[in-house]
Amino acid sequence: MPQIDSLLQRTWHHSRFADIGRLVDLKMKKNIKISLAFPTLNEEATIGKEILVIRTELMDRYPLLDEIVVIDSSSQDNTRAIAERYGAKVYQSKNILPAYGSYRGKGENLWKSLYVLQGDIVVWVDADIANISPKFVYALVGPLLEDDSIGYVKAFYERPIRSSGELKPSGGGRVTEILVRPLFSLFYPELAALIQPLSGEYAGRRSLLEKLPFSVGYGVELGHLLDIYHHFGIESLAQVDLDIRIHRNQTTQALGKMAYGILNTFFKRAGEYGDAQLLKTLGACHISLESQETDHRIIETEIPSIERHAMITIPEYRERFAAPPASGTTDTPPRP
Amino acid sequence: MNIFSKIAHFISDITNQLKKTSKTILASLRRTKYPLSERILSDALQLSSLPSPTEREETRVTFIVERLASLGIPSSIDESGHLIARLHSQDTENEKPILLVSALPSEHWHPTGSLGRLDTEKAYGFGLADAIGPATLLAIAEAIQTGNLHLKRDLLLLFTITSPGKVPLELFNTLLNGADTVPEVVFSIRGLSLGVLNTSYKGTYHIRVDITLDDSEEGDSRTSAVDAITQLAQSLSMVQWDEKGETTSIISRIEAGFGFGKHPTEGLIEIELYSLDSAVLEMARNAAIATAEKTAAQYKTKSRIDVVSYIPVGNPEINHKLSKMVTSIMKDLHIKIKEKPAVSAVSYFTTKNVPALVIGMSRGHIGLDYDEIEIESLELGRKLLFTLLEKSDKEGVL
Repeated sequence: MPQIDSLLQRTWHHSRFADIGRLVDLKMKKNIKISLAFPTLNEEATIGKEILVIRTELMDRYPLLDEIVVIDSSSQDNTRAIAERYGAKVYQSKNILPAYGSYRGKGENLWKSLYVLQGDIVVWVDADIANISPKFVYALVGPLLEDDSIGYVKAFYERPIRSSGELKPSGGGRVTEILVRPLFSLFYPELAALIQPLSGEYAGRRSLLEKLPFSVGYGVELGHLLDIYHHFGIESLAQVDLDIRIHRNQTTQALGKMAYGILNTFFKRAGEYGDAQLLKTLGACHISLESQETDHRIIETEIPSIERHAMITIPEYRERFAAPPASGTTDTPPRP
Repeated sequence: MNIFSKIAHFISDITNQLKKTSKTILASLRRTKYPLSERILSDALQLSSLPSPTEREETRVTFIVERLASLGIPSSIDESGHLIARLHSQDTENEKPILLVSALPSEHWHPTGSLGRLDTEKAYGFGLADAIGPATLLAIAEAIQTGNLHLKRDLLLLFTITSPGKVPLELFNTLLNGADTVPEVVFSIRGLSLGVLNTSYKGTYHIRVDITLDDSEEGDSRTSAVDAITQLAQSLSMVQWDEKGETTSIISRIEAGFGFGKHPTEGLIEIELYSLDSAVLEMARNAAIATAEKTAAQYKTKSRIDVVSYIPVGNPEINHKLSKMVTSIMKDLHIKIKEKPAVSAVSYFTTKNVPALVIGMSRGHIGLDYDEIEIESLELGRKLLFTLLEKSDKEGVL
């Protein structure tokens, strides 16, 4: 019988880690590097403030971070120029490991960031946070510095919805409550204790992250959780309360596509781990309807379900980080 | 435990906790090109997102207290809620301290509009300009603690919970009557108006008039609060207060009526009076109050008249040497100078023979949707202020 509240024993409020000087001391003692990466696509409205606030506080004032990097998916706006202006190293995703091709999606940027980042601990923060503050980074790093048995830390928070320029309480996290938590309840009850399994802010140890395959699209967070759960155990997961996150809210239509991508990843993983068996091939496209007066039209959208192999299997990565091949993952992935 | 004791207790805890971390910060300042102006901007963006105005600005006060404590600087809060910190100089020989003042509240805060954003050249955000003053004081504290700014006098940092247009009279008098708190010079730090040199200080009265009509059966239903308020506004707007036009009155707010089909029985009007002549300002105040009383009587309304705030006409003569010093520094830094009269609470100090100036930190403007700050100008403002502090510390201003 799984202990479904196991994760709650590793659930903390960000204030527990507010003594940043102590975290810096821990980092120095362990002699490790910490990297922060923002995956971006057209984030000019928020990226400048995110970088300035985090850099002044967690690189200049307290040397907690060793680098801030932006991995951009060919933004059409000024994201890259603004990010450089405020002191981030900026990479275009397509220029990292070009021999392995390029896909559009957040998961693709995260996977590629592992190749360019230097840190032993990697923090990923979404670039659309309007109320950024240093706690979005130090609170995710804190548990990893304090406890060597923790490998991956997720953020959770209230997500007020912007409505007519005002903030209305809660209402965010719709895909989590309608789709992911019921799925976890059915298949993996221990993971149902994750308050926001799809949150875009998390930190992990390179030694763990490099062994994970990455969905290039919407399923990246869910894929991580299932893989970590199976390979490293629920004890390696922790979560931290960051109070409130204000960001863009997505339309129900956009959330539908997200849910499709997440379900796709879920069934793929559940099948691989022998937890579920599909008796037919899944549909290749997300289907939605558009009404035109009295008629309705079918709209089919391809949602990428491509998976990147664990970074440790990439020879260029192993050479760069002098890492031995992971056991059971010695096959070199095919180059596109 | 009352709120004051709670805050005092909190400050002590925070100071003890963070004192040990200050060394880390102090060692790290020298790493970036314009570290202090970047920190001003970063702190201003974080401060401006905190709700304001509130009764005692607790959230913003907490932010400042934590930041000062992380630098190893203790601070205290007076009974009204104003926050003050003293940075002691090693070299002082019973010299008067320099006082830096900034206001914590913002009238322009908005839950989403104040979250702020940056492009490559400008910073945007509702109320952002208001947050630059307090953020600048924090940067000065950091510069002193890291040895990037060296003064032989003590520095007093005052974060008021009243707006720059309201004199915290009790606090200012406490400083002026203290054994070691009478300042050599006072600088009021504001976000915008870099290059503006205050050649005079206008005195002001801010008066609020509330009226209530008799809405009983016996009352005259042909008149309304809207009529009474409009009449009062018209009467005041037509007055020429002096021959030179140096005294002005502004109607800053009118509220009356409830909408279609409802008889308006209550209203309010806020009047601001400005003058460079103390006697004319007093006359204007008395006339405005008398006009309000007369209008209320004419419409048979109950009225309540409050003087919300008062700033005395300043004494520009006392700023003679200081103004020359500022002019010279601005010229050296190629800052375009614009001479203007000021309206600031710190003019009170000039009436007590203490030189006082308002220093603007950046260029930009306050818009309807957001404030706009030119980021490069912030470094210029920082250089101006630091040079001014060093010069006035060394040479004196009287």
